[in-house]
Amino acid sequence: MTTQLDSVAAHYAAELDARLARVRDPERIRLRRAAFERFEALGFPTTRAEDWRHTPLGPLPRTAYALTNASVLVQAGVAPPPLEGEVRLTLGGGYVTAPARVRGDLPTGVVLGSLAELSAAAPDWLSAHLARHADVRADAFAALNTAFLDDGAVVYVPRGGACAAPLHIVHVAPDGPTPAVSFPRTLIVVEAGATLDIVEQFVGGAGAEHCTNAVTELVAGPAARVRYARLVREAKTVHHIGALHVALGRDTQVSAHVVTLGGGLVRHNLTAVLAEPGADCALYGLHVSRGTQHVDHHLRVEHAAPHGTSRELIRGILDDRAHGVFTGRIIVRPGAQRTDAKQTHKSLLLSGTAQADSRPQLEIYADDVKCTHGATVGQVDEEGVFYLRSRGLPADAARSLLVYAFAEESVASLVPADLHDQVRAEVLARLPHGELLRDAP
Amino acid sequence: MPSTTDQTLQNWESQEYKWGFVTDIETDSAPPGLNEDIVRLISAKKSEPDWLCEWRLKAYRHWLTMTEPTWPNVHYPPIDYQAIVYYAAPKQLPKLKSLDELDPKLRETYDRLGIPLEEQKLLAGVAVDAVFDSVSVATTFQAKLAELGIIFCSFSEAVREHPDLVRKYLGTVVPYADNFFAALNSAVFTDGSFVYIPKGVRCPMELSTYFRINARATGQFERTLIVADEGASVSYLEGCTAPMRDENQLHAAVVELVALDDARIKYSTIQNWYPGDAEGRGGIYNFVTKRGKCQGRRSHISWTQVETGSAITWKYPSCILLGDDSVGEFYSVALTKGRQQADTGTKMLHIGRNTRSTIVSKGISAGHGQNTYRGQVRINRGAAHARNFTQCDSLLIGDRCGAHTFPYIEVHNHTARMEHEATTTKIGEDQLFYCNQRGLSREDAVNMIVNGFCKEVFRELPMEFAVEAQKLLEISLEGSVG
Repeated sequence: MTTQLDSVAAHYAAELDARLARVRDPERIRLRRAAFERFEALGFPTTRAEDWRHTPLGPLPRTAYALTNASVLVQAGVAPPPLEGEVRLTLGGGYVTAPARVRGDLPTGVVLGSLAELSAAAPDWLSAHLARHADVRADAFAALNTAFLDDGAVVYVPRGGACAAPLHIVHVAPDGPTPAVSFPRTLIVVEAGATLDIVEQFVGGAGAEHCTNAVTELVAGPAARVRYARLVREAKTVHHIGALHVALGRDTQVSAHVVTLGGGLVRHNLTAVLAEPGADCALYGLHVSRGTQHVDHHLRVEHAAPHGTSRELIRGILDDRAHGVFTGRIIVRPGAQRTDAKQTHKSLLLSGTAQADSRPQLEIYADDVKCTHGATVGQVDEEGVFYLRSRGLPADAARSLLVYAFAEESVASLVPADLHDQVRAEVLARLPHGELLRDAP
Repeated sequence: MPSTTDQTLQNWESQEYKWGFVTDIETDSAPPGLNEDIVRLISAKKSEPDWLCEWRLKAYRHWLTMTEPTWPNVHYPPIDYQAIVYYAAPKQLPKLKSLDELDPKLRETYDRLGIPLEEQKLLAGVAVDAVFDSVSVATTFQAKLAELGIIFCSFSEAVREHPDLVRKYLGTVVPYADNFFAALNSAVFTDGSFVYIPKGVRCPMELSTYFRINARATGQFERTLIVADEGASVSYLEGCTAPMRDENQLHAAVVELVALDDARIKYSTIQNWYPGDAEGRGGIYNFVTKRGKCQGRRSHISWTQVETGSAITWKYPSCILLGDDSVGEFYSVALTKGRQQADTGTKMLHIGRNTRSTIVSKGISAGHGQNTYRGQVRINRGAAHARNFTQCDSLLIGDRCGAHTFPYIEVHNHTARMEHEATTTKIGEDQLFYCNQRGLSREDAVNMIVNGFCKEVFRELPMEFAVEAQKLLEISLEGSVG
């Protein structure tokens, strides 16, 4: 087994050498080499590591995946339906292959494009934020993603700018019979006072046990307002390990929705750092899992400055043999007084073989704070079913309505509205007897 | 508030440990260090049967293969296990006919601790098995309990008089390989208490043990085993204070409870060992493994603890809910001030059907205290209709302390219902202001609020203990607000 792991590491090392031979920027080479060294030192985590206790990686660490390159074809069929007024950027296997991939008109000053292309121009904000927020030091997956940082999506909204159109980044995973790994990377920089609505979707990946190792860094400056949505809708064979790092400035407001409707083994590492006073962060998660899906939300919200507010609301609906895992840690650093943090995790078990593990955690080093967390695990409330039946609903529809209502609470504030409708339809399609509600208003 | 808060902290930190004194009695000690010979020596000193000696050696050999756990959220310098004296017994060990024959110095110690040995026969109906260092020297009320067939004696006596019972239950709840400190305890445990309540007997009085760590540099390794047979019920009290000393002392006890069909065990603890000085020097390391097994149907085990002492507390009184319809409860108040650290909580393992558990944990942190709740609720696949309710509240006093909550919730059965809630707050200025304007001093107000905060737990304590616990908190809070 050790030799197998070694050969996988050697495989990545050889691929990295080949890729770095084409990179000219010495700074980038150093960054990527250092990240790979961290990956080698850390290795893939096992269930013996506290953070991965409930999420075994299966064959992932032992598989020498084929690495994607700029030639991944984006199948027309997998592209998600357009959102009203959207500007879309499509990436295949982590690469933006042609300029034509950006569709729609951007307001002046707003950038949506390829990391590889922008690197040549080297704007200040790019070097200031790229790979500065993702936890390369302790997270092996983030380190590996950073090592293979060939291309990615880049979004920039200048100071005071407003982007009325929703930006839509679509990551298409490779498909085909050979297991392949892709490293989608996104950097979103929103300067002071700017506003942005952005959607990031992960689709594709049919045909084999592919692996998606995605990292998104979202940096929002003072008083910026960002509404972010992340949807995982990949094929059910895909191993999806995704990280979202949110850095908030003074009085910044960020809301992030993470909706998981696809993938086989899905792990979300969600981190928010409230480094300046008055920041406000909301994280919403929803997964509707069935079959043998395994969905793990790993949250870390760090209050490092006073007067911060954070809300986390994660919900999971688990059917068949699905396994939901939640770890949420709120850290209040010394001096982060008047912090108001609230975390809720709820799981609904629809079958006798589904499983939920929940670890909400508080780590508090300041006294003038209001911090709570709550976790519940249960099944559909029979009294609620009885009430609805007494109002004339058939038992199946009543049950389905209650399950949907449970899901709706964590996506109620999802924008744009047409995305919310799409999610709603897809959630219903995944619920037992969901079709009974499809036509309901 | 800042000035009064500072005042609070200063007062707390300058407050002396009120129970610190060392009794000067000759002790018969083994040389420091640990090896197979020491294990054999302890076993021989206690004239134990071979099987027990073998069991100790197995535990010792297993312990050698283990490493000290580092996951608890506590920090302390490495412990030198070879510097500890593993056996110390008070030299003079006469068979006592009455309490008057007791060494006057011992008597004085107990009196200063407030154990009313003489009055006990008249008062309260509390039988005391006082553990002075490692060997029990006074056991009362034996006769009265014996009438009912209740066995309440020191562990060594139980090994001599009731070897079959001990052999049947020892290590069935906490196996010797369970964890690092349990393995160490299994190898070198010196004494403790043994309780057996026969079928259908309700123990007529509260059973109580005062543990007392005395001789310098003697780690105490208690072993307590309580067995409640079918339909039996018992309430057991454990309270501790320890003399002031500079060297850190390791205390690694093991407590095992076994409840058969319809049995009830209530185990209450007040722990007030020396917490170390203002800089955190000295003080007891309290690394304890406590576990109860609800083996029978409808059995009931309840843990109640008030933890105010020790430099480091690391314990998780747990319940294995094996029998159908069994119930586990955990009520805890943990106070950390100065440099104290506590990592405490519980484990509720639901295996049987319709098993229920309740967890109420109240943590109070002040000064530089670090208070961690760590608890696991696991509902196994077969535990249909299991029910858990967990509430952990933390109260912070001062801006240099910390309160942490790490629950682990694992649900494998969809008919189970479990809820977990945690809050962290401080005493509100508005609450204090309200009390002030109703004529209460700040200090009374703080006392009242803290007592109210802990009420749910105190309510679970036996009466004598509830009074003691409230007094303890009040003393701790003395002069806390100016």
